[in-house]
Amino acid sequence: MPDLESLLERLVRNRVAFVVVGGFAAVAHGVSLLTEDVDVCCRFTPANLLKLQAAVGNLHPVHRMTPARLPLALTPQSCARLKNLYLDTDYGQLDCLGEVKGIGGYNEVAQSSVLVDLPFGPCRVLGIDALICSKAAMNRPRDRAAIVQLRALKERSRLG
Amino acid sequence: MKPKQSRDSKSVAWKAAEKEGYDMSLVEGNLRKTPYERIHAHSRALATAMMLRRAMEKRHAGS
Repeated sequence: MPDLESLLERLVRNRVAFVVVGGFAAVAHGVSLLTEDVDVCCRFTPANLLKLQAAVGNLHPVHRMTPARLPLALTPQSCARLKNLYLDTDYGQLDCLGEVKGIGGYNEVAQSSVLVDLPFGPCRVLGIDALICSKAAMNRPRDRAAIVQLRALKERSRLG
Repeated sequence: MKPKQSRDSKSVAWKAAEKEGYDMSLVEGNLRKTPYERIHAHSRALATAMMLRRAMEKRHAGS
């Protein structure tokens, strides 16, 4: 059964350096569309990726894009070659991106994020302007749907 | 008091979303929640949707 909230909680509690992006960030801003995965932009250093692996380690994480769905088994050496990680876990899909189209790498994404207080700790979420930029850069039907609502939310927050 | 232009422009994107068929009352409801409450509600909604999907798949497999 998917439990994206618990997936997020594990990343926060294990102090992974990440920013929530994509549809889940849109949800945090108030968009009403349902998303089936958590997209995060991570610092792709071995230390951070090993923290991420520890966070989801007992959720049977597998590389969902590989035909054999190979188990996640990162080493410091293998981390150095990675740019993205597309995982499936017992709690749902977790996509870890080294960069976000339209925004840039982790540092740029973090600079464009807002800090949100969650019961299990503070969490960075991509800000609404950057989220609109990233969704415009992706430009899939679901991105365009989210942009319509994000623009309305942005307008509401700007004008009160 | 805000100028009339601001009051009018407030509803532009909101009305555009409604015109495209989005139920903006759901978004309005989300605005009354904290980010955590939105994440929590979404997580529950997704779990329910997946449960229904699996039940439907099971039903189709059995027919």
